[in-house]
Amino acid sequence: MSNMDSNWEAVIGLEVHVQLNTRTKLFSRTRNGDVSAAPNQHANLVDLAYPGTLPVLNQAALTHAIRFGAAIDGSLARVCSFERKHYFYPDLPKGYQISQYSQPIVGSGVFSLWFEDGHTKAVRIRRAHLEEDAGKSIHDRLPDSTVLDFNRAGTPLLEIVTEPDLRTPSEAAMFLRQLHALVIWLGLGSGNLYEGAIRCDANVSLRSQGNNSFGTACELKNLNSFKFLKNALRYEIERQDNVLSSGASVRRETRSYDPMSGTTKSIRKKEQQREYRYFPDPDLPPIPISETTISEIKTSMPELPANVRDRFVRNFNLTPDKAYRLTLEKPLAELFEATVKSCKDPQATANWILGEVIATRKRKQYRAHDIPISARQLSQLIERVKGGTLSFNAAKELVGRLWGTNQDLDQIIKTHDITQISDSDQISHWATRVVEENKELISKLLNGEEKLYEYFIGQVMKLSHGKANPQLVRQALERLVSKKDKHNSSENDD
Amino acid sequence: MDPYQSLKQLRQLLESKQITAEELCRYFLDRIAQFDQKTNSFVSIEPENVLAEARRADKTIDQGINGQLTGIPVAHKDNFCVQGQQTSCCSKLLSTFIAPYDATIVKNISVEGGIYFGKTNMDEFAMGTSNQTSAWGPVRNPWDLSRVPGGSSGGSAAAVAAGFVPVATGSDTGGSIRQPASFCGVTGFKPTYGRLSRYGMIAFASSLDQAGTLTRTAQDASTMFQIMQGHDPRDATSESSRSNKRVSVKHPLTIGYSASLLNDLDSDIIARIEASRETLERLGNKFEDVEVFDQDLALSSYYIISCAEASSNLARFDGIRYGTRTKSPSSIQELYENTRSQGFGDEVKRRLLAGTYFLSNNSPENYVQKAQKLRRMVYELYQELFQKVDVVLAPSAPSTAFRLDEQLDSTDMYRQDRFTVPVNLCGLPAISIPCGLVNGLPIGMQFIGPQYGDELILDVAYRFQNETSWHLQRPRL
Repeated sequence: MSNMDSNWEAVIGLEVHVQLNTRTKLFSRTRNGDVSAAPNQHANLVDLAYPGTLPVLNQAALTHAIRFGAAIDGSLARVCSFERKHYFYPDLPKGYQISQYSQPIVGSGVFSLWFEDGHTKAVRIRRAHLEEDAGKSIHDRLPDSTVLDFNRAGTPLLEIVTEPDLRTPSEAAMFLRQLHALVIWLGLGSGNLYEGAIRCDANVSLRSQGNNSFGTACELKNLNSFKFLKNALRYEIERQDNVLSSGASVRRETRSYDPMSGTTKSIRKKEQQREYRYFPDPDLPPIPISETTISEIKTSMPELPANVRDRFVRNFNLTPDKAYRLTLEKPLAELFEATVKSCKDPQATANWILGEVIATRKRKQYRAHDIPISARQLSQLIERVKGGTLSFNAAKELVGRLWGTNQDLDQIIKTHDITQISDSDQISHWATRVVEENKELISKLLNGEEKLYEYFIGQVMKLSHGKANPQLVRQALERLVSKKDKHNSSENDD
Repeated sequence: MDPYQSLKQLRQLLESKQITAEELCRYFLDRIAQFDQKTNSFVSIEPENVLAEARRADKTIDQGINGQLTGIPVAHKDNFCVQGQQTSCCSKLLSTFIAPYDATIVKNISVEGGIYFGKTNMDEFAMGTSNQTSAWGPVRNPWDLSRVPGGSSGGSAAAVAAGFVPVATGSDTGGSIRQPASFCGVTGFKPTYGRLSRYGMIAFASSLDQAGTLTRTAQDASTMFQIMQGHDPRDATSESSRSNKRVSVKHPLTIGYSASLLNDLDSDIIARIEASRETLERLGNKFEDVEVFDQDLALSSYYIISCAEASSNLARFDGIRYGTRTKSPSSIQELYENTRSQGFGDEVKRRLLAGTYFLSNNSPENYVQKAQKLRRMVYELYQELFQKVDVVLAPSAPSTAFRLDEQLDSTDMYRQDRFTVPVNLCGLPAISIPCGLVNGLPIGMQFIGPQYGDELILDVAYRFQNETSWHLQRPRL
């Protein structure tokens, strides 16, 4: 990356739109968030802006916004008010969007951005406000015409705006990832990036290292994955670097990112900014928010991921990285805590969750946050492995078998006959047989080809149908081999 | 059959079966068929539907389960949505629009058995004071067909004055019920903002719009008000059902009165209002001189706010989802431009352009913000005023009905509203009642009440009408 060794520093701020997962829309009683619905199935007269219809605020969306505000320690407005933002577009039914302009529900707050080595950086949040989503214009369904789907029209959005506190593309991507995790942790939205449930725009400018003023920024639109955000910023920083290094200046403009080519291109000069004619929406009188409401919402908040992460490091001696990964999803953190409670082995629990549990989820193509394995099952599994009655490999396989069932672990072990065999007589019987059948290899092993142990262990495991305790197998083999060794040396002595 | 009977009288006729609902409705339908080509007060009416509804009403009367309005005709101003019926706001743009739902007040009336009698003419999107901006042609005043009925609820006022229906709904954004009531010699009631739901009333200026009625008497207005009012969960500005802000009814009253307000009025009109004052004093009420807000400043505030809100409210009429769309536009821009320039009339365009301009500067001191400051000053003045007096008496309009061919420019037209707009700026209730005839034309006066003093002004209007007969005067058609 050229900016790494250049004299320029990037200054990045993000605007993130989060679709809230309330049951109904922001201002109507239509069902919200049913992505599988047929076009226009969830668009009532209010959503379609029929003459005479009026908006009525969905209190649940307001509660969601306050929860977010409380999570970033943001200042909370004591009155919830809305403005109209005007522009004509076919998928904007009223000719204006109801949004919050002069008084966002959440004012300045701080998001603690976490890094792999455990240090954090305070990213200031400028504001977060409620607004309604537009419908969708679909240009490729019919030749020569655009069709409209208003299912999304009126979906509540929380627009979160950061201060320009981010400095590199990967920092920005980390921020988006952790914000995404927080949104889901708080139960505010599905966070499904593919479905557009979180959408991100970025403002980026360059300035010479050590300079405190800001350069001219470009706005990059619709960076709807962590990777797109990172790649778009990388490209854009390089582009601005080239412009500035050639002595030219960056134009203030809005650019779109093309993930196929990995480039950004100008879509509109900022000087042509539209006039939105904001004014307070007379249909929605300001609603006072009482201290009681705020404190009730604060009391109902779950412990925040940053707290949980620090607690995991402190109480369970986990590495910051493991604690971080366990707290990216609330169900993972909850599974961890509940499992540790009964098996008392935080390291093994963390390893099992971050290893096999997540791998199984990926293999079974489950969505993030779905973890259909119980703490009881997982702690039993960890205990059986430690007790030697379950081999590590069998245990790994068992995670898959337990997935989505509520079955008792011991029951499954019994039914599938996968109890580990630790009977030493039986094991040395198998070991002797393998040694007798492979005399030439034994002499090679005796001549120093230690790697052949793995082969012998494999042969014994095969005989036991995988059920022999591999540690005991190794011990049995070692005993036999050392006997042979003594025998050989006594022969030579003759 | 007398077409000018009160709701109470009509109800007695129906309940005692002196007349059936079908006969009653047929009578009014015939009267409309006979005379409405003169006044043009209705823009849509479907006699077959009316009669079918009337026959259903007769059944419920037979079963003895009738509501307060069963069998009684009610007309709606054309800006109220009535399910399955043309609801055009008398605009070309909505000339083909069939409402898919009932406005809340329309529903409240039909729940009590009121028979939907058709849509009345109005100024396009309720913007006007003469009912001359209607896409369906002007309404003529039943008292003198060469004169306007006032506006924007001109069709409703004319229909009640002509004895076509005993009651019609109206809407009042800056005087649109009270000024036509004054011109047509009927009772026009505009309740406190929020007491009647706005859901289903096509918005002109949301913070000022209020539904109401045109009736023969204050008593009928009161009956209709009780039926129509109440909290509506579909309207966030509607009064909470738990509200206990109501001003209780009492008698006698201290009535505020500003003689200086009458300065530039015709002496005959002043005489009529002075005479009414004496009547009210005779009834035991006391008068107190009060200062009112500078009318022209209030008027400026009103026009800036109402045009700004209108430019926003009417943005939805883009030809995309409903309404008349322009033929084969070559781009989306052209679709908007042509749909709107072909669909809206001149007065609407004038106000939308002005409103867009008023909103277009986001600096902290733009027109709308200044107008809101003035509005707060008017509001505070009235708050103070109602510390001293119970109600205020004022003219409803500066003149009697003017002639259709009188060339009033926009500003003169706008000044028609100068007695009525302060009420809307403050969300107050007001009722205009007839108080005399001047050269054979009716003239009205209004009682303005404090917020939630609806019952109070209905009561004083009722007492006045008990003493006088101006509200019983009829035009000759």
